Amino acid sequence: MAPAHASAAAYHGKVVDAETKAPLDGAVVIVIWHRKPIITMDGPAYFHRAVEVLTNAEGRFWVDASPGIDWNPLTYVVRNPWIVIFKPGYGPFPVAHVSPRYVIGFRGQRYELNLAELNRELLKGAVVELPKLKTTTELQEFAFPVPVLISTLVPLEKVPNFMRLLNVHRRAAGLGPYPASEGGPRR
Amino acid sequence: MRSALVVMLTLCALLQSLFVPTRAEGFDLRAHEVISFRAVLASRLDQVLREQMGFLRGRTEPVNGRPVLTWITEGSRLEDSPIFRVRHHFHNPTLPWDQAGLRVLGVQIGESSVIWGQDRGQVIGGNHSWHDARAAFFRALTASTNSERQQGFAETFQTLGHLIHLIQDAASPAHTRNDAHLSYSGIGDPDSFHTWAELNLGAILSSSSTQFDPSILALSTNSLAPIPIAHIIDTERYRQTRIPEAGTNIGIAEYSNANFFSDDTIFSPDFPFPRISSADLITERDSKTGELRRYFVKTRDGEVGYRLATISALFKFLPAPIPVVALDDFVLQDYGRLLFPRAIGYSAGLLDYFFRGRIEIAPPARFVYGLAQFVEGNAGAFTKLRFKVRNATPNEETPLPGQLIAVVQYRKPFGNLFENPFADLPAALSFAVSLPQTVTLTRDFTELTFDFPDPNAIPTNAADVFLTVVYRGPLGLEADAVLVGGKDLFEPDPVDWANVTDYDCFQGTLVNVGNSTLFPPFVPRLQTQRDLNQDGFGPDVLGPWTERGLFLKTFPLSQPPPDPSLTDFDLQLPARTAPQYARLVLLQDQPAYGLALFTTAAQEVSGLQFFNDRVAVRFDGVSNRLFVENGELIREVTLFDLYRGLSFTHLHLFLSSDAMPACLPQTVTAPPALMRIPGILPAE
Amino acid sequence: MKRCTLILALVAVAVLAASALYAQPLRYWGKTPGGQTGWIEMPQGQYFEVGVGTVIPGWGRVKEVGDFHLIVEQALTEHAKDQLQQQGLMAYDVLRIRIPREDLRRPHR
Repeated sequence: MAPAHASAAAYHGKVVDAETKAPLDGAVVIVIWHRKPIITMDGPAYFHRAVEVLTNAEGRFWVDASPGIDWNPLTYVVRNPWIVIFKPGYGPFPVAHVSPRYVIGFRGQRYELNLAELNRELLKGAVVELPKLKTTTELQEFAFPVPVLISTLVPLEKVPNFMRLLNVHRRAAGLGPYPASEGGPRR
Repeated sequence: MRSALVVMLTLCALLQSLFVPTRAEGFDLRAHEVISFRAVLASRLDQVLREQMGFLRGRTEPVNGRPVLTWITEGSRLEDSPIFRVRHHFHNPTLPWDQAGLRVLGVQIGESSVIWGQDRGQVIGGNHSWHDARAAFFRALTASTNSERQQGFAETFQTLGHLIHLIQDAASPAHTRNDAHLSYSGIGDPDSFHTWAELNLGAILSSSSTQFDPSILALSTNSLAPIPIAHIIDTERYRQTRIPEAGTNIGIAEYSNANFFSDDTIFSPDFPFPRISSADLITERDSKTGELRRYFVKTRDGEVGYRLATISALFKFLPAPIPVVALDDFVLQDYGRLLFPRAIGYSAGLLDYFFRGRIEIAPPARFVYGLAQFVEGNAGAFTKLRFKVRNATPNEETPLPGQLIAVVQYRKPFGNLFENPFADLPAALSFAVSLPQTVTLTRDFTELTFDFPDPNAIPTNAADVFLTVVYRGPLGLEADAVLVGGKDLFEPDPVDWANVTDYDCFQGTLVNVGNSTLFPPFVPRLQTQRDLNQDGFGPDVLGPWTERGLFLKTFPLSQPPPDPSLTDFDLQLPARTAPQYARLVLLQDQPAYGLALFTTAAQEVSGLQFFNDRVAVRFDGVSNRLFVENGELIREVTLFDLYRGLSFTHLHLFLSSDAMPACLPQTVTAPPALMRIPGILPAE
Repeated sequence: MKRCTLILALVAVAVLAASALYAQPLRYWGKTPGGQTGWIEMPQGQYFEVGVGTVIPGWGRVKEVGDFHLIVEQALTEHAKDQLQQQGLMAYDVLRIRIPREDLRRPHR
C-alpha cells in the first residue's frame, strides 16, 4: 500500500467492520494539520494541510506523517494531526470506534486511549474497528462535521471525499445534504 | 523558582524552535467547538428557529451558506482570535468585577470576561458583545432583503458562539484562578486541563448537560455588566459568603474557582478554597501501571466525591519549593466529569436566554389576518394585517413601550399560483416589513393593525407564507431585548362566490335559462317555454336570479356562524346576477374555516322572490408551502380546479333551483365564462 | 357511478410537468362507507376507489384518505432536483397534493 518513495513515518492500518471483521473499503481517512502562533495562550489556530485517502478493497490505508513545511516564521505546525476515519453508516474514528480504544492496565483494568495515543497506534499500524450504526438517532449523532471532529477551521473544500461521504451518511440519517458553501467572515 | 523554571524552559524552546519545525502536543480549539455543538443540541434553539422564526430546517438551516450550528461553533472557536482577545477571558469570582480580570505580576492586563461579554467597545477581533448580538438579531429579523437578513443572522449566531466561549472558559479553573498559561511553541506553561480536554474530546461528546437554575438570571444586576447573563458566570455570592457551593444556582466561575485547581494554583494561598481540609488523602493503584498513587479526594466544602489533586510521583526527587502536588490524567478526568456538563448546559442556557423572548400571535376578532381585492393576473397585495399579540415570555414582563414590527416572509413564484399552483418557487425568500409602531406588550392579547405600504405590501401571489412579529424593548431585567413571535399562515386564499343561475336542470337535462330568447320569463298561457313537459304547470325551470345586498363573513369553525351584515362583513356585493362571481383574497391561519353568506333579497326573472337568506359552509385553507418532515423537504400544494373558465380552489355557487345539483357537473365547461365583479371590502 | 378499483401494483409514478397535472383535474368525492378508501373521479368521468398506498397514474401515491380531502404524494427524482437547484429554484424532495372533497370545494345552495 505504501508508495515506493515513502518516508519512514506514516499513519497506516486497516479499517474493518467491528462486528463481522470484514474490511471496509471506501472509508475516508483524513489527516489534518494545523498551526498555532509561536507564543500562545489558548489563542488562534490556522489550517495548514489536509490529506484524504480512501481505504482500498482490503480496507487498508497509508498516509505520510509529514505535515509539510510551514513557511510562516511566526507559527508552528502542531505535531499531532487530527485524524478521522469515516464511513457512511458507521461510528467514526476517533470518537465512536471500537478498537483500538482501550489498553488493559493494572489488574485488567482498562483505560481509554487519548487522541495522541491513538495517533501513535496508527503510526505503528492499527486495525481500526468501526461499529455499524443501527438507529436513525445514532446516524444523526454523526451527521455533522464537528462531532466527527472535523473542526470549523478546516475549509470543507479541502476535504471533498469526506463531504461526499458525509452527505451519503446524512441521506441514510434522513437529513438533507450538508450546506457547505463558505459564505460569511472567516478568520 | 517556578517562574525561573518557566523562563528557562522558554529559552530552551526558543533555541529549539530554530531547528525543529514542529512543536509539542496541543489540541485546544476543538474542545470549544464540541462543547458548543453539544450546547446547541441541548438548547431550545432548534424549536425556536422553526416555530417562531420560520427556519425550515431549524438549527441546520443554511444562513449565508452554512448551517446555524456551524456559525455558533465557529464563533466559539474564533473568540480566541487574535490572541490579544484571550486576556479578556479570565474572571476571578473572589474579586469585584472591575478587578477580576487577568493579572500578571499584580497588574490587571485584561477585562473580566463578565464585563468583556457586554463591552460595546471590543475592537481587536471584532465586536462580539451581547449588545452586538442583539443588534444583529434585530437587524436580521426586520431586514427587507434576503442578503441583509442572511448577513444579520450570520453575525448573530457567530457572536453567540463568541459569548458561549466565555462561559466555557469560565468552566476552566485556569481562567477563574488567574492562571495565565502562556506557552511558546507549545512549551512553557500550557494548561493541563485544556490539553486533557483536547486529547479526550470523546468525553465531551458523551458528557451530559447540567443547566443552571434560572433564578440566577433574576438576581439584581451589577452596573458593570447589567445584562443578567453575567450571573451565568458569577452570581457574586461566593465573593460575599466565601462558602464554596456545588448547586446550580451559582455562576460557573464560582463553581470552578471554589472546587477545583489549575496547574499553578494548587492549594494556593491566593484562593480560600479548595483547602487541604477540604480533602482526604487516599491511596489507590494507578490503573495503567499498577503503581501506588496518592490522591486528595474532595470530601467537603462544596462539590465532593472526586480526585482533587495527586501527589507528584517526583515528590521524592524534587527539592522544595518545587510543587509536589499535581493534576494527573485521572484527576483531570474527574474534573471533566463535573465541569463539562456545566460548560455545555450553561452555554445552552445562554442561548436559551437570548431567544427567550416570545410573542404569541392570535387571529383578530374578525378572524382573518388580511383582506385584499383580487387584481387581474393575481397582482394584488395585502397592505394591512390585523392580529392579536401578547407577551408570552415566562416570568418576564415588558413594562415599558417598545418597537413592534411585523414581517411576512414568502416566496415569489414563477407564475400565477391561482392559475397554476405548481409554479416553481425560488430558493430565496422575500420579505415584507411593516411600518414600526410603539406598543407596550402585556400578558393579555392586544389587537393591532400593521401597515405594509408599497413597496412592502404582501403580494396575493405568494407561497410559503410565514408571519413573524418582532418587538424590541425592555424585557425583565434586560433593557434592550428582542422578542419574536411566529405564525405559519395558510397561503393567500381566493374565496370565490358565484351566481350561476343562468342554468337550471329538468329531469337530468341542462337548460340554459340565461338565454332569454329561448326561455323568456314564464307567464301562464302566454310565455310557456319554461313548461318543458307541457303539462300546463310551470315553470319547470327557474333562473336567472338577481341578488341584492350580499354579505360574506368568515369565521372559525369553533364558533357558530355569524350574521353577516352591513356592520360585520369581509366582502359586500351591492348586487349580483348570472354568470357573475366575486373574489376576495384573504390570509388566515386555520386548516379549515367557515364562510357565512347572507343575501338580503333575490328575485327570479319570472317574479319569484326570497329575502334574508343565510347559509354557512366550510372551506379548507389553501396550502402552498414547504416544510421538513422526517428529514425530507415537502412541498404541499392545494389543488385548484376549473369551473366555467375560473381557476378556483373553493367556489360557492348560487344555483337556480333544488334540481340543479343533478346537472351541475355538466356546467363545468358551459358557456359563457364567469365574469368577475368587484366587491367592497370593509374599511380598516 | 361506475365502480372500478385501481390495481395497487401499478407502474412507477413519473413526475409530470405541472401544466400536465393541472390540465387533467382529479376530483375527490369522499370516503366510501367502509371509511378506509375513497372515491376519485378521473377525466372522462371515470371513478375509482383508492386507499392509502394506491398509485394514481400521473398523480402519485395516496398518502391519506380524509373526511375533507385526499392527499397524494410524488417523490422528485435526483435529476429533477438537480435541475431545479441549478436554476436557483427550490428543490424539494416530495410534492404533496391536497385535493379537497368536491362537494366542499363547490358548495352550493
